[in-house]
Amino acid sequence: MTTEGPDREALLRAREGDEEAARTLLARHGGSMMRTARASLGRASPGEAEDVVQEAWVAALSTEALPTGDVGAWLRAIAVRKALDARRVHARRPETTGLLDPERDPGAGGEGSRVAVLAVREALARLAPLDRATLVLADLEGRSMAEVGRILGSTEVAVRLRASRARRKLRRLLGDLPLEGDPA
Amino acid sequence: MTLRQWTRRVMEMAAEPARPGDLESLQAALPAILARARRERDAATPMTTWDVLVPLTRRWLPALVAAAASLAVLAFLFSQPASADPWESLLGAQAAAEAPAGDIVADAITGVDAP
Repeated sequence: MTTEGPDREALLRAREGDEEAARTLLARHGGSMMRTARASLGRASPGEAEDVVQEAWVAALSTEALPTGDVGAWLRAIAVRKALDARRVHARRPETTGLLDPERDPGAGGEGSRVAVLAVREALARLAPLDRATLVLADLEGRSMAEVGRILGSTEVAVRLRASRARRKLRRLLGDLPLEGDPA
Repeated sequence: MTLRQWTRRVMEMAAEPARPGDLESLQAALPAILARARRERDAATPMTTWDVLVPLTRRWLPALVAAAASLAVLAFLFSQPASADPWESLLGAQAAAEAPAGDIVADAITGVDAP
């Protein structure tokens, strides 16, 4: 069942100050926004992803613009843009916490897979923020290059080139990390 | 598996699962988020003509000043009357004065009729 219509309604009501509608929307999309924000930030200090998501909510509730399709995808796109803004603001600040932060859950699985997860996070953190945002939107979110271009304020061709370059860099950084079904 | 599919898989692997506390802290911040959103909406008043003109003027003012100065210089130069004695005439007259007597070219310049 699609939640597009009810989500739009909830968004409109939340903009008018309806806290219950905002809570419903947050319960539905807050978790995925946090996940997207963390992926876009790469190395994130504690609370940074939450700040980014809060900024995204403020933007979503204060703008006049309305999403044309999936409200959740629209909210996650705002979170990616806010993560990029946060990275620009703190570009010169040394990052004190990293992907090896024990606070960050490397997921279930054996020691090997936990090491692999941490290695992938480390490699993602080494990408340029815009490259990471491009991969989050294009590959993790599965958006078209044209959509990614619109979200990031770039052309489709530029986004395609950036994504291709970022994927190759990620592949290079991860080297021979054992993953099932690796491309040759 | 293409490189794109591989990247997707790698990124899904690296993505953190939602933490139990994530939603609670966001829900707790919701009243503040709503209040801030309302303030920002209220602050966003419709743009007036001045709101559009002032930034445009600021942006283009140096170029406008430079263009106006160039036009003024050009206008000044063109407004000057042409010299009564252009340099070609002066050089011709000087050459004619220094020419030996009977030089028909010099005579032509000075207006003396040939014999």
